[in-house]
Amino acid sequence: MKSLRAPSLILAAAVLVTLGGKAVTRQPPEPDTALFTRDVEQRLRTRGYSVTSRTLPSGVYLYGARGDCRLMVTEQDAFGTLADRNNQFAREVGPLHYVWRGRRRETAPRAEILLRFLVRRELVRLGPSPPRQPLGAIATGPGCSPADTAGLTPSDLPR
Amino acid sequence: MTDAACEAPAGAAASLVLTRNRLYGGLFLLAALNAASGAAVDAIGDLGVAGAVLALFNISAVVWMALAAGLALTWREPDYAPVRPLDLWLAGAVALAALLPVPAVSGVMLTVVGLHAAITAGPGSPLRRAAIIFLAVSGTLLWGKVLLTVFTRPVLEMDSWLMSSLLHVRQEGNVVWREGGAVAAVVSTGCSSIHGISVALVCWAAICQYFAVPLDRRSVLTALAAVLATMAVNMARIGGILVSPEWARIIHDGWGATVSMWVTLVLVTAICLFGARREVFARA
Amino acid sequence: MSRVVDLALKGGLVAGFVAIASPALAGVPTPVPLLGAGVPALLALGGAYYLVRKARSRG
Repeated sequence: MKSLRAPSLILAAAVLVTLGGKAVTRQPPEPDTALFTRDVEQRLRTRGYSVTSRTLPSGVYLYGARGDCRLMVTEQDAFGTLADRNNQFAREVGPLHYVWRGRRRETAPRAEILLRFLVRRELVRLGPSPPRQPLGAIATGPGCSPADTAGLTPSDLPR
Repeated sequence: MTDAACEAPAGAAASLVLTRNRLYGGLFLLAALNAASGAAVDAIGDLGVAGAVLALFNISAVVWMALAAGLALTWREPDYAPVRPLDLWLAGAVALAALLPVPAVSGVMLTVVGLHAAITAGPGSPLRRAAIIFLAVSGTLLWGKVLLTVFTRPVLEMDSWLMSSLLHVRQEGNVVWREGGAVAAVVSTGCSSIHGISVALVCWAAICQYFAVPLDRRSVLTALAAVLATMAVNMARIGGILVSPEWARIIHDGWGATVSMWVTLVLVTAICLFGARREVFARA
Repeated sequence: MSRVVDLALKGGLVAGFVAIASPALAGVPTPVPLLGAGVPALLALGGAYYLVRKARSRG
């Protein structure tokens, strides 16, 4: 088996070089949903809403009330794992819609959101840290108008 | 065009350094380690180097054993099959992929070289058996995750539907809860039975190929039993989470998680060994 | 065959000790990834492989 020495050394070198290169890549961090929550809470208060929140393992749900309008805002993950849970909480308030990259959408464009999320995650490994576009889920009560919910969520966040 | 393990040609150097088996064994290992490097980097970031080593870089011990089994098959068994030009091209592609900072590319290359080796190696040869092990490893390192990413909702809803049918709990999409219960569980990608199933299949493939178990009805039923065992434990785990918030904490974050991991590991290993007992416990 | 059962029982005891050594089972909460699927599992599987090899060499 002495003839295994040379191939072993070559393999060990290849493994060291390639894994060493990977080791200098960064661990892509989980999206910071606290940033989203703080930003939205700020916006709600600035517009005169009284704000309460509900913190659960599945996420933070912000509730705003102003006059007749009652709404709920939360961030939804790129994979859509929280969609059904968010729907359940939304039902207590009213119909749910989404806001992504500053635009209102009735359904979340899953493929596009996921692709951007994955591309950004791989880029962060390499070094550059482009901003992320969070997906906001907003449920509005019967007393709310479209103007009430415009611009409630940030279209970009640093992480 | 396949090759069978052949006798050394008369006068061939006994120390033929690079044979087909050795080349592919090295490529399999290089590609597999690089495919696993994403989880390893995350483990180091979360746990520090020492913690990551103790946690085996968040790669299942089953996968590590499978890597050893595959490497042993290609490097310990004598073979004299010479390397072909296409093998060298593939080696270059694997090396290039390994140099890229994206681990998933190495996962794809692992599948490509695994398929090529399995197809071009002789039936029952050590190279084909090793290739099958590494194909199963690529399933757990890459394709299970791809399945979860591309088909998130169908996979999670299927997991949840199974739970609601067997445990008699309410289900809405991927949310399950007991009627009148205080806990609702969101079956997320981390809780999916896909993870356990892919590792169970690696265990089955490694044992069957290392001990040269033929692919017959018995071995297929063994694989099925191992998969069902992981799903049953996962289901029991989530059922326990739904009992109460205290149980949810114990099972999700406390000692309950460790217990369910060990129960699954022992069950899957025992089932795979039992199913292959004729070959595994044959006199060596 | 009884030798195999004997070896398996001994192996089970070893695995059991290794498992109990994990603080999480003793009731002390630990972060799930650290010990659960880590070195103890590798030791247990390595032990199982060792037992199989012994069983094969004895026939």
